[in-house]
Amino acid sequence: MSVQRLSSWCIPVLAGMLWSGPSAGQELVPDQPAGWLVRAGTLWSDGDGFVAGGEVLLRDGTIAAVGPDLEAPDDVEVIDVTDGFILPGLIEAHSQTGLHGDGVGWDTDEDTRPITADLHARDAFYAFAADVASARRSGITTVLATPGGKNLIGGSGVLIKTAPAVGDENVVRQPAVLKMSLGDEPKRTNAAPRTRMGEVALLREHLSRARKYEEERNQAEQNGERPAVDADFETTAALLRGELPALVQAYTTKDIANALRLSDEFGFDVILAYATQAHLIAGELARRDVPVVLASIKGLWYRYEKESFSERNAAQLLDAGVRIALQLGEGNPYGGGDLLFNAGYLLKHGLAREDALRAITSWPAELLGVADRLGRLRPGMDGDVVVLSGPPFDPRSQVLHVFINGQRMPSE
Amino acid sequence: MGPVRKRRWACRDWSAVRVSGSWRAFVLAAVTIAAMPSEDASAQRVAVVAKTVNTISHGSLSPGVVLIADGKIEEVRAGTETPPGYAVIDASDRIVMPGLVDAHTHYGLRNVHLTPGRFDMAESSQPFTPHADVRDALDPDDPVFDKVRGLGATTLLVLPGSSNLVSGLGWALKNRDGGLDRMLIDSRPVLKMALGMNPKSAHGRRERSPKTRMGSSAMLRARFEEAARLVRRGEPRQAGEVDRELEVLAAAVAGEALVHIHAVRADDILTALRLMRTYGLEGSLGHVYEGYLVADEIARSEVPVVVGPKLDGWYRGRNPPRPVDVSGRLGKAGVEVSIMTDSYVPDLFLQACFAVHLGLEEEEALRAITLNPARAIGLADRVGSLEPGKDADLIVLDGEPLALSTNVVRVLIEGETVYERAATE
Repeated sequence: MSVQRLSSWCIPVLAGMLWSGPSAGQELVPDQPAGWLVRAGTLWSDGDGFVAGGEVLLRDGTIAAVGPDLEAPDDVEVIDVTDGFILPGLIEAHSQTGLHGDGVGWDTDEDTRPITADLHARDAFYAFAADVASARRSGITTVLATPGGKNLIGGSGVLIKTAPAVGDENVVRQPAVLKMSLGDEPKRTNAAPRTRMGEVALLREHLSRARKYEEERNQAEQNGERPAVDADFETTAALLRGELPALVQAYTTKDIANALRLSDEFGFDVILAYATQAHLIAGELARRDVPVVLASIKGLWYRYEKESFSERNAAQLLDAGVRIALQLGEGNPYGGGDLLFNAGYLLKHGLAREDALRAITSWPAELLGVADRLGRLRPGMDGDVVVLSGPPFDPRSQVLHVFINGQRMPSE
Repeated sequence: MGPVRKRRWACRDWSAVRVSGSWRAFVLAAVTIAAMPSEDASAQRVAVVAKTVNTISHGSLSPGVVLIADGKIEEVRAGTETPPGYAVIDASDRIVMPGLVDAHTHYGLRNVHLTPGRFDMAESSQPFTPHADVRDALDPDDPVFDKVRGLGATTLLVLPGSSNLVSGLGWALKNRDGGLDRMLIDSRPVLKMALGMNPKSAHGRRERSPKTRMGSSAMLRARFEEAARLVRRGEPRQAGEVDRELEVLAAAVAGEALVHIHAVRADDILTALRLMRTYGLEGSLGHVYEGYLVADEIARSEVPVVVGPKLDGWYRGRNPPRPVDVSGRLGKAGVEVSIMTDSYVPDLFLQACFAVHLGLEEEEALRAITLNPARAIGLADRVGSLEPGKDADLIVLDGEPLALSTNVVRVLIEGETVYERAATE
């Protein structure tokens, strides 16, 4: 109900605001054949493992068939990469991709007040930005784009494909999450909060008011009245109704504990992001089934609160039974946004090869609630496919082809 | 003015500023004690038997043996035979190569979580601080040294930051325990300089020069003119006769200190080369993200470059439309390329793998984290390859060097094992 309610006012506005148009030199998706048959030496998809002679047939935007020895219908174009590898399109489970603008200031944080729950990353996501193109080229076909971490609540995040598209055809889920941030960064941003006490107090006040807002709206509807809309509480009310999770950027166990306490108090789901100390309380997170989106490579710079950062945190969380996904994250010098390369770095830090692949395909799809559409190569799922020249995690391997919604992206 | 003729500067005594005052004796005593066990270890003769020995300078031997005596490499030979009297390290299913050299780091100058009061990277109170010296700020107990040792880094150049036109003296270290003086390598220090955005924003923002690239160059030339005049006069002088700032700049002009110039944009790179040519400065350029745009000019100058931490030409301000193989394109143009971590992502192998991903030849990528940085910091006679007479700094790997899954399992510095990977890791 509420997502509909939200969409009813925000989507038309957004569609209008988004169009600034591709300018010269920017890529558009070229005309496509009726379908594609992709053949490669090996195909990998979670649950199927590495399949020799893997093939994928794409039609009508989705995966029509998977397997060795597919017949090529007359109207499809065949791509044959003998030694290549086919993977599901990669999913980055938390990022500010597309919000960085192109050289004219960033659109990541509206840091003029600590809680901007009325904002939507969707309004800033720029599909023609260089970082979106870069993500796409490196095989990322879907990103969770959220506001940055300066505000306690930055606004809603959007789950969106990285194709160079103008309208809403790329949106997988909007709003996908409510972005929260705890700890050092919000303390340093606005006039308030200045302490962790202030952080939780402000969040509690907002959540309480959102709960009251929801009650008043329900009351009004029951009375047959037209309820007043307050954008400040719309997404948060949806959070409290359990329609979307909070994606909480938190680093220390203290801030993670604060997030969990608020989630207990107000009854909402939490996905942690960055969480550099999460492995210290892995058992607790497993017990509560709180998933964690980790930055696989954490720059040593530019961030407080990483005393306990260890590249082994992914392996440790997995061993404890915590669900994980990977993101690039700040302080990462691989500016081209190569998620596959970043995931590969964890191989030497205890992560199994298949788990490293899952953490950028099927697992983010599951923890963001879109496993029915994304993250695996199965008939009926979205036609998001990546073709590599060689094995994943071999530094020499290159991304040769990227398909989004069954369309081959411009060759770049 | 024309190039200044290089000359040794008789009175230069770096040790005078190394450890001063009353605690010098204490440090020396501590160093002596710390050094004792290693004397024993390095006096031993050690033979490392490996599936493959990659010398970097003279190809690979499979299988191969590295013979070590008194902390130096005695011989690198094919086969598995070891002479009597040598303690054998069995790496017969492993790959052995030289310890890695990182020619641009800030380790120990700021601790990992940026604790307030522990940030000693940049004396940004004025645009010239050549007399600042990282040895006065460096914390040898920063846990990051252990971390990067386990990632294979045995020689590190620790430099001041880049907020000043001239930020001060950096020094090369061996990454081992025992205190700063045991880490320090007796070699020429490296004077850190910076062009472009960083000094402009650090100082211009505070309404003082430099505010522009014009200002930066003019200020640098003015100071180096003075220094060059001092060197031309050529008389040995006592410390204190001139100001310390000028003394250090003069040492760079005289070739007693190398320089390392932070230059990102193509125009800053050309300015750096011009400064080096004019004042006869010896050394390297750092970062050089736009180096690929002026690769031929850099190659002609024969100045080595240290690329990174970003390797794909991306930096805030002027991203190319797509990732660029910066190091590969420089290498193809004939530039001697090293890859740095900048203490950013601390894994040099990861950096090298990413360079390969972008297009750098694998052999070049390995040179870029061993022999090339050793040359860039003036230490090629001691580290960077496995050759007789060089320091026995070597690392043992459990897989191919440029595979993401490969781990460093043992590190030797001057013949002494300083790291062994635990079986559970």
